[in-house]
Amino acid sequence: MKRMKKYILALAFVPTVLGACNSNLDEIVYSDVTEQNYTYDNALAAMGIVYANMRSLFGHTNFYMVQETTSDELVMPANPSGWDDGGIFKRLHLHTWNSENPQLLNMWNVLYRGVTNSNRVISQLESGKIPPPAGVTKEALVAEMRAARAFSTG
Amino acid sequence: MLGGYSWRQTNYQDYWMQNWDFPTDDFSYNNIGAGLALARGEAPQNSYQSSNKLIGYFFRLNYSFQNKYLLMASIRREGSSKFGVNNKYGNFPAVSAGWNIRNEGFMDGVKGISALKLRGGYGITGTEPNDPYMSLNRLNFDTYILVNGQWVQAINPSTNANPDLRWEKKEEANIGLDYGLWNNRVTGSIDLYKRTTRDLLLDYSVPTPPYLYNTIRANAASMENKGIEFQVNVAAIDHKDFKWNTSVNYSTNKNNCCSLSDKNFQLAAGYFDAGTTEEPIQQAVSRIQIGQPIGNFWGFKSIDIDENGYWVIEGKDGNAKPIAQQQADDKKIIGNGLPKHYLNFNNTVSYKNFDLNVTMRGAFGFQILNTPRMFYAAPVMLTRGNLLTSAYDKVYGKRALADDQSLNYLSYYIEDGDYWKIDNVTVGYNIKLKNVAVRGLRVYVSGSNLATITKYSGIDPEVGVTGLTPGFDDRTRYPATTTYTLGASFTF
Repeated sequence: MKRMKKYILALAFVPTVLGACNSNLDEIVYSDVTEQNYTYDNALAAMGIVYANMRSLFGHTNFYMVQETTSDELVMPANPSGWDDGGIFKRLHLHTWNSENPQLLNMWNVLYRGVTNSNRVISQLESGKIPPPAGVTKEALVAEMRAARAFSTG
Repeated sequence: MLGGYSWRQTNYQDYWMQNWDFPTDDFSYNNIGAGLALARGEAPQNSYQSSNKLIGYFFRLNYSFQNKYLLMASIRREGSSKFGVNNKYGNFPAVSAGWNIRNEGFMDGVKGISALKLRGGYGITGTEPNDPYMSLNRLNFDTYILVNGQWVQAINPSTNANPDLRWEKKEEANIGLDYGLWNNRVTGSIDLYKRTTRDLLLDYSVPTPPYLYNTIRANAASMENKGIEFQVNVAAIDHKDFKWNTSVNYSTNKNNCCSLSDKNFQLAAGYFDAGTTEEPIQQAVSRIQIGQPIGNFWGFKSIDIDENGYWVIEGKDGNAKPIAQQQADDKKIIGNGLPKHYLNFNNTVSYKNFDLNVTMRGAFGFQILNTPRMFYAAPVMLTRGNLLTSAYDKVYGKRALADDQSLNYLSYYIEDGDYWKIDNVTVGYNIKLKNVAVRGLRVYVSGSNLATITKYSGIDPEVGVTGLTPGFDDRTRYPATTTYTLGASFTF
C-alpha cells in the first residue's frame, strides 16, 4: 500500500511537470488580424467599409431589385431554360412576394450592417482607437459617419 | 489505474507561388524568378499559417473482481485553443460496469447458456470545431474603397465574435447484453443506447442588429438519438467438411431535435433551413425544427398536374392550388432522409476445399430527394442540354410537363429509398501442395457492389446520411463502381 501511495504521488506530479510545456490556450493568429490586436492607422480605410458594403444594395437579391422589378421599369421573366431562381423575381413583379424572397432580408441586413459599422466606427473614433489623419478633426469624421448612418436608416 | 497528460500543438503552413513564361523548362521549380509573369505583375503568390493547441489530463481506473464484476471509470479534462476565452476547458467523465453472469455460482448447473454478460455505461465525449479562430472577431481587407482618387483596402470586420464558443458534448448511456448459447454455437448481443448531443456546434442565423453579420458559429442546438442494435452469429452447420456461419446485424435509430437556443441567443422561429437545391430552383432542402427529427425534406407537396401541364400543389389549407400561386407557408414536411432501420446479413460457407462468402446489407424507412430527376426530367431543361429519357413521360398518368413549366422542388421528386444490396460475393478454392516451395495456394473470384434491389429510380439509393441534409442525392454524382477480382494467394 505504501508503494502504491508512492505511485499515486508520482502520477499526481506528472501533469504538473509536463504542464510546464506551454499550457496557454490563447489563440495565436498569423494570417488573420482581430479587432483586439489590430492597430488602426488609417481612419479612412476604417470608415470606408461603411461605403463599400453599400455596393451590395445594387445586387439581384437586394434593394435594387425591390425598387425596379416591383415597378414596370424592369421585368425579369424566366429565360427559356427555366432560370427563375424559384420565382423570386416573378413574385416581386406580380406583387406576391413572401417571406422566402431574399431581397427584403438581404436589404435589411446590408442596411443594418451599415448602421452597426457606423456606430462602431463612431465609438472607435471617439475613444481614440481610430486616430484621425493629420489636418482632419475627429468631429468631422464622426459627422461623416453619422450621415452615412442616417443614409442606412433612411 | 492510469493517469496522463497530453499536449498537442498543430501548426499549419501553406505557401505557394506561381510564375510562367520561363525561357526554359530546365529550371523546374528551382529558379522561380526566371519567368516573366511575375515581372508583369500577373503571377500570384500566397502564404497562410494557423495554429491550435489541445491539452488533456486524463485518469482511468479499471477494476475486476473475480472475473464477475468489472468496473471502468475515467475522466478527461480537455482544453482547446479553438474555443472562446470564457470556455477553453471541458470535463468528460465516463463510467461503465459489467456483470459476467455466467461466472456466478448459480449458473453452474445451467446447460445451454455458455456465455452471459450484462454491461452498462455512461459517458460524455467532446467535439471541437475543425478550424481555429472561430470565436474571434476577425478583420479582412478583401474590399476596396476609393479615397482621394486612390483605391484603399477597407478594414472589414468579417465575423461575429463569440467568447462563449465551447465544447460540443455528447452524452451517451447504453446498456447491453452479450450471450452465447450451446457452446457458443450461437453468440450475439443486444444494445440499447440513448445519445444526447448538447451545445451543437453550427453556424446559426442571428439577427442584424445586434450582430454585425447574420451568422455566427455557436453552440445552441441539442439533439437526441435513441436506438437498439441486435447482433446474432450462428454456426449453423459445423461438420468437418461442411461449415456454414451466418450473422445478422440489425439496428434502428430515432432522432429528435430538442432545442435550438442558447442562453445568449434564441432562434425565435424555432427552426432553420439547410442545404440548397442550387440554381435555378434556389430553395433550401431540409428544415431542422424543434421536436422534429433531422432530415425532414421541406418543400411543396405536389398532388396533380393541370390540363396545360403545370403543377398543382396542396396549399396550406389542404386545398389544391396552381404552382404559380405558391406561398412559403404552403411548404410541408414531404419526407425524411434518415434511414430508420439498417440490416446486415453475412454468410460464410465452406465445403471441403471450397469456400463462399456473401455479404449483404440494406437500409429501410427513408426517402431520397432525386435531384437528377428534378433537374433533367423536365422539358424546360432542353434549352440547356441533355435530358433524361423520362422527361416527356406522363406525370400522374395525365400528360407530360409543359415546355415552360419551370423547375420546382416538389414531393414528386421525393422517392422511397429502401434498398438491399449484395455487397460482396467471394468464391475461393484452396489447394494444398506438398514437397514444393509453395505450400498453399488459394484461387478466388470476388465481386463487389454486385446487385441493388430497390424501387428508387436514381443511380444508387445509398446516399449520404450524415449532416443536416441526409437523403440528398447529388445532381452530379459519380456512380458507385462494380468490381470483379480474380486472384490467387500463395503461402510459402
